[in-house]
Amino acid sequence: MGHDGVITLTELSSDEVQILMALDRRPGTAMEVANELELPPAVITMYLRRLQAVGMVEACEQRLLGNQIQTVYGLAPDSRVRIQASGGASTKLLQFCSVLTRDIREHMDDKAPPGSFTAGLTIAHIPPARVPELMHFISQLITQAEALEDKEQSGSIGLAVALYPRVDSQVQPRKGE
Amino acid sequence: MWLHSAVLDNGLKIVVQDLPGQRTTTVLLMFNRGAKDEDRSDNGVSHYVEHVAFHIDHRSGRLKQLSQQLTSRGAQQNADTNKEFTSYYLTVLEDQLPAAIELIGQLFAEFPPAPTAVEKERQIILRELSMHMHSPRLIFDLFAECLWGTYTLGLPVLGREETIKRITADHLAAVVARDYTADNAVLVVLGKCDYRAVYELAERSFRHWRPSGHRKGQYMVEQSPSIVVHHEPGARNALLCVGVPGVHHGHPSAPALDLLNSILAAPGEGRLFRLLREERGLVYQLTGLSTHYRHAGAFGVVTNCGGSDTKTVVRLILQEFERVRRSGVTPDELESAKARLAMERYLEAENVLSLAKRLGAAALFGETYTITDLNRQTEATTLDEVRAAAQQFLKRRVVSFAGIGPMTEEEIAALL
Repeated sequence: MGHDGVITLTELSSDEVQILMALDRRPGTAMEVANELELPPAVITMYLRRLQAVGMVEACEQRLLGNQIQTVYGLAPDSRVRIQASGGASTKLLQFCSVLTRDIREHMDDKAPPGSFTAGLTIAHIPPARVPELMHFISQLITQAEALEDKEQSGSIGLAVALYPRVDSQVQPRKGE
Repeated sequence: MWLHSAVLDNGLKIVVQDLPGQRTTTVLLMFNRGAKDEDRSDNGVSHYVEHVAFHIDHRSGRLKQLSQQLTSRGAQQNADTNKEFTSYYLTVLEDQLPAAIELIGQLFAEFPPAPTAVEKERQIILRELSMHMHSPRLIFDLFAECLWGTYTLGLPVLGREETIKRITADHLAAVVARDYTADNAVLVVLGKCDYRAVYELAERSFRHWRPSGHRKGQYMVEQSPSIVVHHEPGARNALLCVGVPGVHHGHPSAPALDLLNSILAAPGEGRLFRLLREERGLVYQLTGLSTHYRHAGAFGVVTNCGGSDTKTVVRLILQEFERVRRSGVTPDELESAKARLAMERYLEAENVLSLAKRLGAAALFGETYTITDLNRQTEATTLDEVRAAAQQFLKRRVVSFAGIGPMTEEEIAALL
């Protein structure tokens, strides 16, 4: 639960990931999200309540229509975990990302401030010739993080980067890179 | 067997019916107050008030004296709270009617009682809540949560442990001052009684009550189908409810939905009862749910089965919903259902307390409850109307599921 510690992020189902993505695009009611994702509203509500319970989603507006209450859900602004994804990120990869975040989370300090943890994921069509360039850049990023290390400081951050070719990719990674 | 009704100057409604042949008289005081009037922060407060008001052992003076007098003459007294109403009732011999009406009129005279009484009731309610969480009736709370979320009708009548622990004597007193008032209540007296005598007794016992002047409007309802499972890993049995949002009291489709529910789920005769129990041997009990609250309704099927059969049972229920949507019902099924509903109403009316509650609920909303009118509406319902109701309301898209047992929410989600 997202009270005074880091939220418990369990492995997200593909439906949950789709819901988070939909709410990231725009907040909506369970029915609106159901229409957008073409899933049964009961399933959407079930996941929304579950995501709300772990602090990833929150009720951000209440619409009153006659005697009907409609709850509008959105991504929780103070969620300690962000899953960022570009438009091309597939559901399967997002699931992988959610598993990754869960594993990383176990090593996080409970006092981590909101938004201090970002798990990013994208599918980028990069020309094979430029992949080494990107890898070099990542390598520099890690080197930079290490260079900033000050052992006198009590706080520390963790940085995890994964770059990998997809199975349908033409790019073959070279060992050691 | 006339139904007499009146309204005192302070707004208290009075309904009296002399039932020839009765040896006893039932006195019921009903308030337009229940879980629907609560929110998440004070959920359970109506039920808490019921406990505190009716626990007369805590009380002093005249109230206790009346209670002891009635109990020694065999009077039966109790109280209950539901989503919409709170009721206090006594059944007494005719000569004890004056004492019974006086007692009912004194229930809120010293409110709230001493803090020790409020604390003692808190422990009793927490015990009741704990037992309820292991009772089959929990399925109805879960289904209400499925249909209406955590507002008004979606809230459990008993409340939640955290809210019960938080409610204070001051809050109880504020709720009583606002809603347990003459203009938010009805006094129903049924059985061996004389209308004029009852009216005089009521005027004497209730004239000190003041109206609150607070007019209740429509309560809000959240309608968002959902799946709620009280997961019990390894449980051998499952209790489940599959349903859809129904219609409110007085909705034109209410008679058709009641008939449709009987055709699908009536014990012994319903399609699903025959299919799931008689033909397939998958379930033991199966019953229908067609409820019309003042501003929302529920329609569903409640049943129990082996834990490993849950998915099969849910699939078959959904298939039957779809079949009745596509093909409607037969003339024979409709006629049998009409006869069943009429019989159920007659049987209910023979239970004086049930009848008193029906009359009280209707009076609180300015209506008169008559079985004849209800049966006439049922009788006039056509095959086309039942089919239209099935097509309109039994859509797979709005199905909700509540379950207690080894099933998971994901397993059910995959079936919808």
